[in-house]
Amino acid sequence: MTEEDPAADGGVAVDHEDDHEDHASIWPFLTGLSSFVLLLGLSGNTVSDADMSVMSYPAGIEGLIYIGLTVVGGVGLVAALIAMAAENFEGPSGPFGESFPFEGVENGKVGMWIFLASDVVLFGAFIGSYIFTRVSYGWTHWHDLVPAAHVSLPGLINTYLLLTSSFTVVLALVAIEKNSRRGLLASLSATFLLGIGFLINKAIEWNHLANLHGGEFAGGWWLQTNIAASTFYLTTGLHAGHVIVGLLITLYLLVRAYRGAYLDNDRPVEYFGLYWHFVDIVWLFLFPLFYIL
Amino acid sequence: MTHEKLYTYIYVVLFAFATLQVAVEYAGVLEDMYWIGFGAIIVLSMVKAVFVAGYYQHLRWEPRGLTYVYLTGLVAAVALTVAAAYSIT
Repeated sequence: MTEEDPAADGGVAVDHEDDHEDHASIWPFLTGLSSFVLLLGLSGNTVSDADMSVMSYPAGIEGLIYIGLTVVGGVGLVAALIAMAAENFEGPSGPFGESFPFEGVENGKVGMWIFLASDVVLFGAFIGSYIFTRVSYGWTHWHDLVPAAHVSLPGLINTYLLLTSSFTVVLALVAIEKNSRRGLLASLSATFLLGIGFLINKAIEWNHLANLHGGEFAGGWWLQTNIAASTFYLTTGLHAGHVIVGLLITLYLLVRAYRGAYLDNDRPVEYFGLYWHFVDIVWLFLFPLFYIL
Repeated sequence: MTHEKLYTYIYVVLFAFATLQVAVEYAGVLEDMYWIGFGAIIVLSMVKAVFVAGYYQHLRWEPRGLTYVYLTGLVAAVALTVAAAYSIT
Protein backbone atom coordinates (compact mmCIF):
# COMPACT_ATOMS: atom_id res chain seq x y z
CA MET A 1 0.00 0.00 0.00
CA THR A 2 1.14 3.55 -0.55
CA GLU A 3 2.01 5.67 2.49
CA GLU A 4 0.07 8.89 2.59
CA ASP A 5 1.19 11.91 4.57
CA PRO A 6 0.13 10.92 8.11
CA ALA A 7 -0.86 14.46 8.90
CA ALA A 8 -3.30 14.73 5.99
CA ASP A 9 -6.18 13.20 7.94
CA GLY A 10 -6.10 15.89 10.60
CA GLY A 11 -2.76 15.44 12.26
CA VAL A 12 -3.26 12.06 13.89
CA ALA A 13 -0.69 9.67 12.63
CA VAL A 14 -2.22 6.26 12.07
CA ASP A 15 -0.06 3.22 12.05
CA HIS A 16 -1.31 1.53 8.90
CA GLU A 17 0.74 -1.54 9.59
CA ASP A 18 -1.82 -2.56 12.23
CA ASP A 19 -4.72 -2.44 9.77
CA HIS A 20 -4.09 -5.66 7.97
CA GLU A 21 -3.00 -9.17 8.69
CA ASP A 22 0.47 -10.45 8.40
CA HIS A 23 1.11 -11.93 4.96
CA ALA A 24 2.81 -14.95 6.45
CA SER A 25 0.47 -17.84 7.17
CA ILE A 26 1.14 -21.21 8.71
CA TRP A 27 -1.82 -22.94 7.01
CA PRO A 28 -0.43 -23.54 3.52
CA PHE A 29 2.56 -25.25 5.13
CA LEU A 30 0.32 -27.37 7.37
CA THR A 31 -1.82 -28.25 4.34
CA GLY A 32 1.28 -29.60 2.62
CA LEU A 33 2.48 -31.39 5.75
CA SER A 34 -0.84 -33.11 6.45
CA SER A 35 -1.14 -34.09 2.75
CA PHE A 36 2.22 -35.79 3.12
CA VAL A 37 1.16 -37.60 6.31
CA LEU A 38 -2.13 -38.65 4.67
CA LEU A 39 -0.39 -40.07 1.60
CA LEU A 40 2.19 -41.78 3.79
CA GLY A 41 -0.66 -43.46 5.66
CA LEU A 42 -2.48 -44.41 2.44
CA SER A 43 0.73 -45.92 1.09
CA GLY A 44 0.28 -48.70 3.66
CA ASN A 45 -3.06 -49.64 2.11
CA THR A 46 -1.45 -51.92 -0.45
CA VAL A 47 -1.94 -55.44 0.82
CA SER A 48 -3.87 -57.35 -1.82
CA ASP A 49 -5.90 -60.48 -1.43
CA ALA A 50 -5.29 -63.46 -3.68
CA ASP A 51 -7.03 -62.17 -6.81
CA MET A 52 -5.72 -58.62 -6.38
CA SER A 53 -9.18 -57.10 -6.20
CA VAL A 54 -9.38 -55.76 -2.65
CA MET A 55 -6.69 -53.75 -0.92
CA SER A 56 -6.25 -53.40 2.81
CA TYR A 57 -3.84 -52.32 5.52
CA PRO A 58 -1.32 -54.80 6.88
CA ALA A 59 -2.22 -56.60 10.11
CA GLY A 60 -0.88 -55.82 13.58
CA ILE A 61 0.96 -52.79 14.85
CA GLU A 62 2.28 -51.85 11.38
CA GLY A 63 -1.26 -51.54 10.07
CA LEU A 64 -2.28 -49.49 13.10
CA ILE A 65 0.54 -47.03 12.43
CA TYR A 66 -0.51 -46.64 8.79
CA ILE A 67 -4.17 -46.23 9.76
CA GLY A 68 -3.16 -43.69 12.41
CA LEU A 69 -1.15 -41.68 9.87
CA THR A 70 -4.08 -41.78 7.43
CA VAL A 71 -6.53 -40.47 10.04
CA VAL A 72 -4.17 -37.80 11.42
CA GLY A 73 -3.23 -36.63 7.92
CA GLY A 74 -6.84 -36.60 6.71
CA VAL A 75 -8.19 -34.71 9.72
CA GLY A 76 -5.20 -32.34 9.65
CA LEU A 77 -5.69 -31.63 5.95
CA VAL A 78 -9.37 -30.77 6.36
CA ALA A 79 -8.63 -28.65 9.45
CA ALA A 80 -5.78 -26.78 7.75
CA LEU A 81 -7.92 -26.03 4.67
CA ILE A 82 -10.79 -24.76 6.84
CA ALA A 83 -8.40 -22.63 8.90
CA MET A 84 -6.82 -21.22 5.75
CA ALA A 85 -10.23 -20.34 4.31
CA ALA A 86 -11.29 -18.68 7.59
CA GLU A 87 -8.14 -16.61 7.92
CA ASN A 88 -8.13 -12.94 7.11
CA PHE A 89 -5.70 -12.45 4.35
CA GLU A 90 -4.48 -9.49 2.43
CA GLY A 91 -2.37 -10.25 -0.57
CA PRO A 92 -0.49 -7.85 -2.76
CA SER A 93 -2.98 -6.00 -4.94
CA GLY A 94 -2.77 -5.60 -8.71
CA PRO A 95 -3.11 -4.54 -11.34
CA PHE A 96 -1.25 -7.55 -12.68
CA GLY A 97 -3.47 -8.66 -15.52
CA GLU A 98 -3.41 -5.26 -17.10
CA SER A 99 0.36 -4.97 -17.02
CA PHE A 100 3.03 -6.43 -19.25
CA PRO A 101 2.77 -8.92 -20.87
CA PHE A 102 -1.01 -8.99 -20.40
CA GLU A 103 -2.02 -5.49 -21.47
CA GLY A 104 -5.74 -5.34 -22.07
CA VAL A 105 -6.43 -8.73 -20.45
CA GLU A 106 -8.37 -8.64 -17.22
CA ASN A 107 -7.12 -10.38 -14.10
CA GLY A 108 -9.82 -13.04 -14.15
CA LYS A 109 -8.85 -14.18 -17.61
CA VAL A 110 -5.13 -14.27 -16.81
CA GLY A 111 -6.00 -16.33 -13.73
CA MET A 112 -8.06 -18.71 -15.85
CA TRP A 113 -5.16 -19.20 -18.24
CA ILE A 114 -2.69 -19.81 -15.43
CA PHE A 115 -5.07 -22.47 -14.08
CA LEU A 116 -5.32 -24.05 -17.54
CA ALA A 117 -1.53 -24.05 -17.86
CA SER A 118 -1.34 -25.91 -14.53
CA ASP A 119 -3.91 -28.39 -15.82
CA VAL A 120 -1.72 -28.88 -18.91
CA VAL A 121 1.04 -29.94 -16.52
CA LEU A 122 -1.33 -32.33 -14.71
CA PHE A 123 -2.44 -34.07 -17.91
CA GLY A 124 1.11 -33.80 -19.24
CA ALA A 125 2.31 -35.84 -16.28
CA PHE A 126 -0.28 -38.57 -16.90
CA ILE A 127 0.29 -38.67 -20.66
CA GLY A 128 4.06 -38.41 -20.19
CA SER A 129 4.14 -41.34 -17.78
CA TYR A 130 1.99 -43.35 -20.21
CA ILE A 131 4.39 -42.63 -23.08
CA PHE A 132 7.39 -43.38 -20.89
CA THR A 133 5.93 -46.68 -19.68
CA ARG A 134 4.85 -47.70 -23.15
CA VAL A 135 8.23 -46.89 -24.70
CA SER A 136 10.05 -48.88 -22.05
CA TYR A 137 7.65 -51.83 -22.53
CA GLY A 138 8.03 -51.67 -26.30
CA TRP A 139 5.68 -49.25 -28.03
CA THR A 140 4.06 -51.69 -30.49
CA HIS A 141 4.23 -54.73 -28.19
CA TRP A 142 1.84 -52.78 -25.98
CA HIS A 143 -0.98 -54.11 -28.18
CA ASP A 144 -0.55 -57.52 -26.55
CA LEU A 145 -1.77 -55.99 -23.27
CA VAL A 146 -4.94 -54.60 -24.77
CA PRO A 147 -7.97 -56.76 -25.59
CA ALA A 148 -9.20 -56.90 -29.16
CA ALA A 149 -12.54 -55.65 -27.85
CA HIS A 150 -10.89 -52.29 -27.13
CA VAL A 151 -11.82 -50.76 -30.49
CA SER A 152 -11.73 -47.15 -31.62
CA LEU A 153 -15.44 -46.70 -32.30
CA PRO A 154 -16.54 -45.66 -28.75
CA GLY A 155 -13.62 -43.22 -28.69
CA LEU A 156 -14.61 -41.79 -32.06
CA ILE A 157 -18.21 -41.33 -30.93
CA ASN A 158 -16.96 -39.55 -27.82
CA THR A 159 -14.72 -37.37 -29.96
CA TYR A 160 -17.77 -36.33 -32.00
CA LEU A 161 -19.78 -35.66 -28.83
CA LEU A 162 -17.04 -33.55 -27.24
CA LEU A 163 -16.25 -31.60 -30.42
CA THR A 164 -19.94 -30.83 -30.82
CA SER A 165 -20.24 -29.74 -27.20
CA SER A 166 -17.28 -27.40 -27.70
CA PHE A 167 -19.08 -25.96 -30.69
CA THR A 168 -22.27 -25.43 -28.68
CA VAL A 169 -20.32 -23.41 -26.09
CA VAL A 170 -19.13 -21.21 -28.95
CA LEU A 171 -22.79 -20.91 -30.01
CA ALA A 172 -23.69 -19.88 -26.45
CA LEU A 173 -21.33 -16.91 -26.77
CA VAL A 174 -22.78 -16.08 -30.19
CA ALA A 175 -26.26 -16.16 -28.60
CA ILE A 176 -25.12 -13.71 -25.91
CA GLU A 177 -23.77 -11.43 -28.63
CA LYS A 178 -27.23 -11.51 -30.22
CA ASN A 179 -28.82 -10.86 -26.82
CA SER A 180 -30.79 -14.10 -27.09
CA ARG A 181 -31.59 -15.69 -23.74
CA ARG A 182 -33.32 -18.60 -25.47
CA GLY A 183 -30.29 -19.21 -27.68
CA LEU A 184 -28.02 -19.14 -24.66
CA LEU A 185 -30.21 -21.62 -22.75
CA ALA A 186 -30.47 -23.90 -25.79
CA SER A 187 -26.71 -23.91 -26.38
CA LEU A 188 -25.84 -24.56 -22.75
CA SER A 189 -28.47 -27.32 -22.52
CA ALA A 190 -27.01 -28.93 -25.64
CA THR A 191 -23.54 -28.73 -24.11
CA PHE A 192 -24.82 -30.39 -20.94
CA LEU A 193 -26.61 -33.19 -22.79
CA LEU A 194 -23.62 -33.87 -25.05
CA GLY A 195 -21.38 -34.08 -21.97
CA ILE A 196 -23.81 -36.51 -20.33
CA GLY A 197 -23.77 -38.51 -23.56
CA PHE A 198 -19.98 -38.60 -23.40
CA LEU A 199 -20.07 -40.00 -19.86
CA ILE A 200 -22.78 -42.56 -20.64
CA ASN A 201 -20.85 -43.79 -23.69
CA LYS A 202 -17.71 -44.02 -21.57
CA ALA A 203 -19.54 -45.92 -18.83
CA ILE A 204 -20.86 -48.44 -21.38
CA GLU A 205 -17.38 -48.87 -22.81
CA TRP A 206 -15.69 -49.29 -19.41
CA ASN A 207 -18.37 -51.69 -18.28
CA HIS A 208 -17.87 -53.75 -21.42
CA LEU A 209 -14.07 -53.88 -21.08
CA ALA A 210 -14.17 -54.59 -17.35
CA ASN A 211 -16.49 -57.55 -17.85
CA LEU A 212 -15.09 -59.29 -20.90
CA HIS A 213 -16.15 -62.91 -21.41
CA GLY A 214 -13.89 -65.23 -23.30
CA GLY A 215 -10.75 -64.42 -25.18
CA GLU A 216 -7.40 -63.55 -23.71
CA PHE A 217 -8.83 -61.26 -21.07
CA ALA A 218 -11.77 -63.38 -19.96
CA GLY A 219 -12.81 -62.19 -16.54
CA GLY A 220 -12.37 -58.57 -17.44
CA TRP A 221 -9.79 -55.97 -18.35
CA TRP A 222 -9.80 -53.68 -15.32
CA LEU A 223 -7.50 -51.40 -13.30
CA GLN A 224 -5.09 -54.05 -12.08
CA THR A 225 -5.17 -56.39 -15.08
CA ASN A 226 -1.97 -54.96 -16.52
CA ILE A 227 -0.08 -51.70 -16.99
CA ALA A 228 -1.95 -50.82 -20.20
CA ALA A 229 -5.29 -51.16 -18.38
CA SER A 230 -4.06 -49.05 -15.44
CA THR A 231 -2.83 -46.18 -17.61
CA PHE A 232 -5.97 -46.32 -19.76
CA TYR A 233 -8.44 -46.12 -16.88
CA LEU A 234 -6.43 -43.59 -14.86
CA THR A 235 -5.83 -41.18 -17.72
CA THR A 236 -9.26 -41.35 -19.31
CA GLY A 237 -10.72 -41.34 -15.77
CA LEU A 238 -8.91 -38.11 -14.93
CA HIS A 239 -10.33 -36.67 -18.13
CA ALA A 240 -13.82 -37.92 -17.31
CA GLY A 241 -13.46 -36.19 -13.92
CA HIS A 242 -12.79 -32.96 -15.76
CA VAL A 243 -15.89 -33.53 -17.88
CA ILE A 244 -17.98 -34.06 -14.70
CA VAL A 245 -16.65 -30.81 -13.19
CA GLY A 246 -17.43 -29.04 -16.47
CA LEU A 247 -21.00 -30.36 -16.40
CA LEU A 248 -21.49 -29.10 -12.82
CA ILE A 249 -20.35 -25.66 -13.98
CA THR A 250 -22.70 -25.91 -16.98
CA LEU A 251 -25.60 -26.65 -14.62
CA TYR A 252 -24.72 -23.59 -12.58
CA LEU A 253 -24.51 -21.45 -15.72
CA LEU A 254 -27.85 -22.86 -16.92
CA VAL A 255 -29.66 -21.96 -13.71
CA ARG A 256 -28.23 -18.44 -13.73
CA ALA A 257 -28.86 -17.99 -17.46
CA TYR A 258 -32.47 -19.08 -16.89
CA ARG A 259 -32.79 -16.25 -14.39
CA GLY A 260 -31.51 -13.85 -17.01
CA ALA A 261 -27.81 -13.62 -16.27
CA TYR A 262 -24.89 -13.27 -18.72
CA LEU A 263 -26.62 -11.27 -21.43
CA ASP A 264 -24.91 -8.12 -20.17
CA ASN A 265 -21.70 -9.86 -19.09
CA ASP A 266 -20.54 -12.90 -21.01
CA ARG A 267 -17.28 -13.40 -19.12
CA PRO A 268 -18.37 -16.37 -16.95
CA VAL A 269 -19.56 -18.22 -20.05
CA GLU A 270 -16.39 -17.30 -21.92
CA TYR A 271 -14.13 -18.53 -19.11
CA PHE A 272 -16.10 -21.73 -18.80
CA GLY A 273 -15.63 -22.12 -22.56
CA LEU A 274 -11.86 -21.78 -22.20
CA TYR A 275 -11.94 -24.67 -19.70
CA TRP A 276 -14.31 -26.80 -21.76
CA HIS A 277 -12.27 -26.36 -24.95
CA PHE A 278 -9.17 -27.35 -22.98
CA VAL A 279 -10.89 -30.58 -21.90
CA ASP A 280 -11.71 -31.06 -25.58
CA ILE A 281 -8.06 -30.57 -26.61
CA VAL A 282 -6.91 -33.14 -24.04
CA TRP A 283 -9.34 -35.65 -25.53
CA LEU A 284 -7.98 -34.90 -29.02
CA PHE A 285 -4.72 -36.48 -27.81
CA LEU A 286 -6.12 -39.16 -25.51
CA PHE A 287 -8.26 -40.53 -28.33
CA PRO A 288 -5.41 -41.45 -30.74
CA LEU A 289 -3.00 -42.42 -27.94
CA PHE A 290 -5.37 -44.75 -26.12
CA TYR A 291 -7.68 -45.94 -28.90
CA ILE A 292 -5.98 -45.90 -32.28
CA LEU A 293 -2.22 -46.18 -31.93
CA MET B 1 -17.34 -8.92 -34.67
CA THR B 2 -18.99 -12.27 -35.16
CA HIS B 3 -17.11 -15.27 -36.42
CA GLU B 4 -20.12 -17.57 -36.55
CA LYS B 5 -19.41 -18.89 -40.04
CA LEU B 6 -15.71 -19.35 -39.33
CA TYR B 7 -16.49 -21.30 -36.15
CA THR B 8 -18.83 -23.56 -38.12
CA TYR B 9 -16.21 -24.27 -40.78
CA ILE B 10 -13.70 -25.11 -38.06
CA TYR B 11 -16.20 -27.47 -36.44
CA VAL B 12 -16.59 -29.28 -39.77
CA VAL B 13 -12.82 -29.48 -40.21
CA LEU B 14 -12.36 -30.88 -36.67
CA PHE B 15 -15.09 -33.44 -37.28
CA ALA B 16 -13.51 -34.46 -40.59
CA PHE B 17 -10.01 -34.75 -39.11
CA ALA B 18 -11.24 -37.01 -36.30
CA THR B 19 -12.90 -39.24 -38.89
CA LEU B 20 -9.74 -39.19 -40.98
CA GLN B 21 -7.69 -40.44 -38.02
CA VAL B 22 -9.88 -43.51 -37.69
CA ALA B 23 -9.90 -43.90 -41.48
CA VAL B 24 -6.10 -44.12 -41.37
CA GLU B 25 -6.48 -46.99 -38.91
CA TYR B 26 -9.21 -48.76 -40.93
CA ALA B 27 -7.22 -48.40 -44.15
CA GLY B 28 -4.64 -50.67 -42.55
CA VAL B 29 -1.86 -48.08 -42.58
CA LEU B 30 -0.94 -48.98 -38.99
CA GLU B 31 -0.45 -52.62 -39.97
CA ASP B 32 1.71 -51.99 -43.01
CA MET B 33 3.58 -48.79 -42.11
CA TYR B 34 3.00 -48.20 -38.40
CA TRP B 35 5.20 -45.16 -37.96
CA ILE B 36 3.88 -43.35 -41.03
CA GLY B 37 0.34 -43.89 -39.79
CA PHE B 38 1.45 -42.86 -36.29
CA GLY B 39 2.92 -39.62 -37.64
CA ALA B 40 -0.17 -38.82 -39.69
CA ILE B 41 -2.54 -39.41 -36.76
CA ILE B 42 -0.47 -37.36 -34.28
CA VAL B 43 -0.05 -34.49 -36.75
CA LEU B 44 -3.83 -34.47 -37.30
CA SER B 45 -4.33 -34.23 -33.52
CA MET B 46 -1.88 -31.36 -33.26
CA VAL B 47 -3.56 -29.46 -36.10
CA LYS B 48 -6.93 -29.95 -34.36
CA ALA B 49 -5.48 -28.73 -31.05
CA VAL B 50 -4.09 -25.60 -32.72
CA PHE B 51 -7.50 -24.92 -34.31
CA VAL B 52 -9.33 -25.28 -30.99
CA ALA B 53 -6.80 -23.17 -29.08
CA GLY B 54 -6.48 -20.53 -31.80
CA TYR B 55 -10.16 -20.06 -32.62
CA TYR B 56 -12.44 -21.61 -29.96
CA GLN B 57 -10.16 -20.38 -27.17
CA HIS B 58 -9.59 -17.34 -29.42
CA LEU B 59 -5.90 -17.09 -28.59
CA ARG B 60 -5.44 -15.79 -32.12
CA TRP B 61 -7.09 -12.56 -31.10
CA GLU B 62 -5.56 -12.28 -27.63
CA PRO B 63 -2.23 -10.74 -26.62
CA ARG B 64 0.58 -13.25 -27.22
CA GLY B 65 1.27 -13.34 -23.47
CA LEU B 66 -1.65 -15.74 -22.89
CA THR B 67 -0.37 -18.13 -25.57
CA TYR B 68 2.99 -18.18 -23.81
CA VAL B 69 1.30 -18.97 -20.48
CA TYR B 70 -0.36 -21.96 -22.17
CA LEU B 71 2.89 -23.06 -23.81
CA THR B 72 4.73 -22.73 -20.49
CA GLY B 73 2.47 -25.48 -19.16
CA LEU B 74 3.30 -27.63 -22.17
CA VAL B 75 7.04 -27.03 -21.83
CA ALA B 76 6.85 -27.87 -18.10
CA ALA B 77 5.00 -31.11 -18.87
CA VAL B 78 7.52 -32.13 -21.53
CA ALA B 79 10.43 -31.22 -19.24
CA LEU B 80 8.90 -33.35 -16.45
CA THR B 81 8.54 -36.30 -18.80
CA VAL B 82 12.04 -35.99 -20.18
CA ALA B 83 13.50 -35.61 -16.70
CA ALA B 84 11.57 -38.64 -15.45
CA ALA B 85 12.54 -40.72 -18.47
CA TYR B 86 16.15 -39.78 -17.91
CA SER B 87 16.24 -40.52 -14.19
CA ILE B 88 14.04 -43.62 -13.99
CA THR B 89 15.50 -46.50 -15.89
